[in-house]
Amino acid sequence: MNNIEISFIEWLGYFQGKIIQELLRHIQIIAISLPFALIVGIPLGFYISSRPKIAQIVIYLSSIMMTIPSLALFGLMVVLLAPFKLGLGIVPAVIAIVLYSMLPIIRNTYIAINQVPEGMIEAAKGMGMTKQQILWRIKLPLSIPVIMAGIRNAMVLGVSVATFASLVAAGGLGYFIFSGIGRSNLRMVLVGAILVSVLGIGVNYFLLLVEDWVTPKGLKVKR
Amino acid sequence: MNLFQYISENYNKIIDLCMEHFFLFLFSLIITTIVGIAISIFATEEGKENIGKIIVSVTGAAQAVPSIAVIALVFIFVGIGKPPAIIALIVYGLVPIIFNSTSGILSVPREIIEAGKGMGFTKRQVLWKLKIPIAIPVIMGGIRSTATIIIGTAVIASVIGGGGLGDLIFVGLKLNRPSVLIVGAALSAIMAIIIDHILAYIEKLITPKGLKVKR
Amino acid sequence: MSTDNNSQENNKIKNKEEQEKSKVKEYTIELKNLTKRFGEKVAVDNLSLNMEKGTLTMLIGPSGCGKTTTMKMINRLIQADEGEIKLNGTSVYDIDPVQLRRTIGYVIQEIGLFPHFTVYDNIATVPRLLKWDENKIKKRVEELLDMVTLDSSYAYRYPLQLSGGERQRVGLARALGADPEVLLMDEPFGAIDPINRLKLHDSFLEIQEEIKKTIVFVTHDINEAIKLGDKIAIIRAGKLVQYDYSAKILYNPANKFVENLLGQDRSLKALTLKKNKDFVSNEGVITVSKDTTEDEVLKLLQKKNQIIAFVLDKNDKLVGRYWLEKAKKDKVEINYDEEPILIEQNNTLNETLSTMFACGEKLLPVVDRRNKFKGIILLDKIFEEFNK
Repeated sequence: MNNIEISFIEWLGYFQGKIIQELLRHIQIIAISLPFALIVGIPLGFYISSRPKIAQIVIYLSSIMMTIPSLALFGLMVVLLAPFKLGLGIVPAVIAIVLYSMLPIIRNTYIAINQVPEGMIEAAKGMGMTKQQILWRIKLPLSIPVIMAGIRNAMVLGVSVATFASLVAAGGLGYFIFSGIGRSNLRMVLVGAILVSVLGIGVNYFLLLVEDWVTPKGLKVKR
Repeated sequence: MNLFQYISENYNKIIDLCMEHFFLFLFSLIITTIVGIAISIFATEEGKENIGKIIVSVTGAAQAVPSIAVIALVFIFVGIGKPPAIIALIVYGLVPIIFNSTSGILSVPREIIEAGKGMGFTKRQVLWKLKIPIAIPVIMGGIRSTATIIIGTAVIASVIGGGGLGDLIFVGLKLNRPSVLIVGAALSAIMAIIIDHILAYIEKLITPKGLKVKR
Repeated sequence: MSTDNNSQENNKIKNKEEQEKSKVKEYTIELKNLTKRFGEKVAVDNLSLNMEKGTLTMLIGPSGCGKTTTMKMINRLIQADEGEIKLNGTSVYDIDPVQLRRTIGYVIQEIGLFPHFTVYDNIATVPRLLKWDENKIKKRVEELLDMVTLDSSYAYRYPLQLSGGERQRVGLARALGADPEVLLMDEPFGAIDPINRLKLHDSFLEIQEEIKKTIVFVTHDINEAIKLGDKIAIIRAGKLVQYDYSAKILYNPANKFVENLLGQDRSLKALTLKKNKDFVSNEGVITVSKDTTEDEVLKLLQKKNQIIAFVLDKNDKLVGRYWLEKAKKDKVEINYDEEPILIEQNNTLNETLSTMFACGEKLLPVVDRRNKFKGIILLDKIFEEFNK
């Protein structure tokens, strides 16, 4: 036992550089995708929030998209991008993550804005706020917690989908798992599994804190 | 090789993989549903509400673990083949069903349970006539996400020998054969969408009418 | 038992006391030396309380005094640590708790209607637990809906489709489902707005007059306790401070605590115990028929030296009121109200007094539930009672 433990640590030391490299790569893939998901998702959510008919279609389509297995969506991206010579590398991963993580953001933005009570908006109008003011001072602060929950959801999905990047030679933590399984190298698999879990849970937890931090105090106080 | 050629030449194999995928899914869903609801019922019994709350926060956090991590861990500790794949599907699929059922049952208003007890419902009657029917929409939501997750995870579980449509996707990716990849991806996507619609219909069917009426 | 309608509260009490003496210890509910601790805290402390059949007993006290705990020990939702609880002479500990609860009606403040059951199914809950025949259940549900004055079309609605007051009525009907002898009510009207609460009080009293259940009713509202209760048990820190007929408590509070609970306006509250019908008079009341002309009324009033005449239809229903007003230069003017302010004979003197203050009348007509004219009440009479 002792022997194995020591050698595992030695192994870790040997692989340290690679581990850090793939971890950063993984984070990089998510970090590149997130702004796109936000830039498309939040305005789209706002746009459909006042257009119930379009909203119904968008929400329905996005719920369908969400049920599609992430690997299947990723695979479809690879195929669709191949003619443009983009089927390999970071691009399909980023596009799949953007598409996939946009959905919870759109949905939550839509829900968030529609849950702002009518009476509040009416009161704001009655006090002479402009549309812009209502948006920035009332609607947005009150919907931020729900929108943040959507972003959190999106990021967690991103951590998961980014593991597939290694399947198209784009690296990331998936490398340890997929290559490890292929070579029956349990250490690699273990490192990959642990890191990707920690990353997922960590991102989730960190964004929960952010969520709490951006939630207006008045919404959190207890009766 | 183009798509249609591939499909016509491998028609039987595709059907087989489809069936395999479906049964992998069905078996895991039945087990997770039964086990998951049983655990939730146990964890929400009177006096055990704290266990229930712990379970809700643990499963809530566990949902952030990517499915591939669970598959990897099962690979390490159990090995390769169908049984490990099914274990991975069940373990991962349990998370949303337990999360939803437990929080659903815990959120049944206290006064409804108190009224039931005060009127002489037995513990069992409180569970089956009050708690479960009132929590049905939330429980069904859990079953639906579990179903989606199992189908999606089954695709990935093919790397540890689970079989199913994931085989086509991995072969397509590794050997750079778009037709194979598309068939696997499209069929698993269609299967997921159809099953979600069926479950949504069942949800509609079994949600008590009184919970749906408008004021 | 024949009771004199004009008899005062004290006479009633004497009658009841005699009754009590004659049938020794025939209590429906007996609580003996009950004690309940939650950890270090003693919630109920050696409390004994007996309730006679058919009485409505109010348990009142500050929040956390143990009144709800006491009530919940009766249907064993809370297990007593020490003491005895008997229901019709049988210890509740000899009955299976589930069976016990099916024989006791139970209403809570949040009502707890089952949202996935229709109104019908909610009311049928206990009869079904008791495996009654469906036909019998149907009859019972109809009867109960009628009793709580809900139209039979309500049977197939769901709780989410009802207003607060309607839900409370269904809650009461559900508790009465299997016609239990005993009813436990935990602040049942606590969440209802004041106006609807008064209405519910009135209909609740009417229902109780009809069904004569033995009711234990927890409240923290002294006005509610006085208005509804036959007897009031005042509890403080788990101990029984005073237990008696409402009037006795009002007139003889046991100590400072009870006095404070009753408040400064004790005599005013005592008016809540009095019904209008016991103070109606017909002395000098002038009634005219619909056909009487204004001139005739004027002459009649001047002749009898009165200023008000009530107009009744053929069935003695009150339909209007003439009244005289002194206009300029000693000229008298006659006025007519089509919808005169009136009071119901079963309402309390307290409410009548409020109405009089509100409308500035010293004299108001009294009618029964069907709007039939019964006589008048004079402000002076209420003052007389008040000063007693």
